[in-house]
Amino acid sequence: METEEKSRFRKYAPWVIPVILCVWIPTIILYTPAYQNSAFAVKSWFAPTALNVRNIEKQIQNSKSNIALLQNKLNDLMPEKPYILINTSENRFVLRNSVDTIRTGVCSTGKDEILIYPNGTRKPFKTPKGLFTVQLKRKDPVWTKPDWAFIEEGLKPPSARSADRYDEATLGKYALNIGDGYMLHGTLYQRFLGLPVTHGCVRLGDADLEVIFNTLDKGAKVFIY
Amino acid sequence: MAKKSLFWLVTSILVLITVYILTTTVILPVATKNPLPEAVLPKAEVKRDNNVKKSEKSDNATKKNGKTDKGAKKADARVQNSPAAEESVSNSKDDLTKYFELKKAEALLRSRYSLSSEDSIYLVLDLMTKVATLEMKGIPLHDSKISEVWISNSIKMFHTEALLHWISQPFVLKNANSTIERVQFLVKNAPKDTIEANKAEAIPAPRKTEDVYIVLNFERNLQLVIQQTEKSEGEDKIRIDSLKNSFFKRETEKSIKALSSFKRDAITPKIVLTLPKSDAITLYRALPQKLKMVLRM
Repeated sequence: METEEKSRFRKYAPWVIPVILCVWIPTIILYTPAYQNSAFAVKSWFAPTALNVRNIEKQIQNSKSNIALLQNKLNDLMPEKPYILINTSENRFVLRNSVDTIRTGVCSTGKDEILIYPNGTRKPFKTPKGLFTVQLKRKDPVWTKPDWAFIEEGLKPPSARSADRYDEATLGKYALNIGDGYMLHGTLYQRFLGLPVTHGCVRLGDADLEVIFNTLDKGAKVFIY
Repeated sequence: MAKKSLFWLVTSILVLITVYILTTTVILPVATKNPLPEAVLPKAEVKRDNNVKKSEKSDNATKKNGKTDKGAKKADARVQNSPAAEESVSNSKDDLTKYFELKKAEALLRSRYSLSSEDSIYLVLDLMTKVATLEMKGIPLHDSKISEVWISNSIKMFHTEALLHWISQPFVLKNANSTIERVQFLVKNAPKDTIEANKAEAIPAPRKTEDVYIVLNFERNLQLVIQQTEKSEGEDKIRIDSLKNSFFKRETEKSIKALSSFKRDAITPKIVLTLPKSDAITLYRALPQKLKMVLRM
């Protein structure tokens, strides 16, 4: 019995290594991306032990002074006057000055829609992203309705100077022009605040708009992201 | 007899293959102390190293001649300022750690300052404080607290200096893949008349946002993956899994090709961030096409 087992062991034992290798090699090949990123790459094997730096104390001092200098330069970039941040993904705003947050709240930004005119023209409604400045502040603003405002309602746009183009209610109590026809303004549709429903402008609630209007001066920065 | 020789033949072939794989994927990176292929290192650094070597040569030559001219002094200054002068100096481990951390902090500030002069939004990823910040003109726009960070060991095994070179310049985005659209436009035909316009829904239907899985491939081979904290289910999970699988398949094909052609391919260091879904969407939608990212780790 024992001899039979021994002979069986002698017969199969040598094949153990090749069989293991046969399984192991394809595994390595198939999992090489994972292999590069995790398996065997033990940090302690590779941790640097000798970084030769001459005059290390001087280098550390240099580095510290460079950091202080760069930090000051970055601090200088902070606007002295209040500015506003508008998050178009969450439809929220943050009004800040160089130290504190003055006010946060909801707003409404562009609905990311393309309106196709009967003549085939495509008009995108999207809030632009980037840095803008307050160019003009208006109290009780009157909106001069552009062509799309009529086309969207199934109407034919009137002539440029037609009285139908002037709307005294839609923009609310205040408007801050930020260029290219875009504004921060009020709205009649307070229930839509927090939703992306506008044609590109930023709509704000009455109380928020009043604070923003009184805080932001002409030239104030408006960051839209 | 025939069986025995077959056994040795098979074993030898398998051992050779194993040695080859081990050499290319483990031994070489360890031996060179840098798993990054040379091509990944910035060229400027190679030039700088050459300058250092040249200056050392000139320094030695002057010493031999016993002369000290202005040029030699300048060369000496260059070596002094070089963080990695090729001269054996024994520094304490604490000093080196401090020095390295300061250099990383300096690199981060320098990159942020250089990007602040540009007109687009950039991403500042501080893995030490676990915060991802959208910045523009040096002003932080949006902070996202990262709930989890996974860094591939291929980054951890970088030699300290290589890592410093690697992160010292902003990373530029090459391409991005995601389960969500950057901008999702809804196309609408203008109504023919006021009756049709009035029929249109007054209240906008809220749009469903799919679960988020974002893969950003940067220059210098960095791959940044952003996934959401919330658990995905149903169709969203299938969509995310299929994106993950397609990447795995591509990487595997690349690896097999590299192994078969006896060419050590560039490793793709990977960082995986887990963020709340809303933050992940905000970050992705705010990023410009040619995103620049500053990394601190």
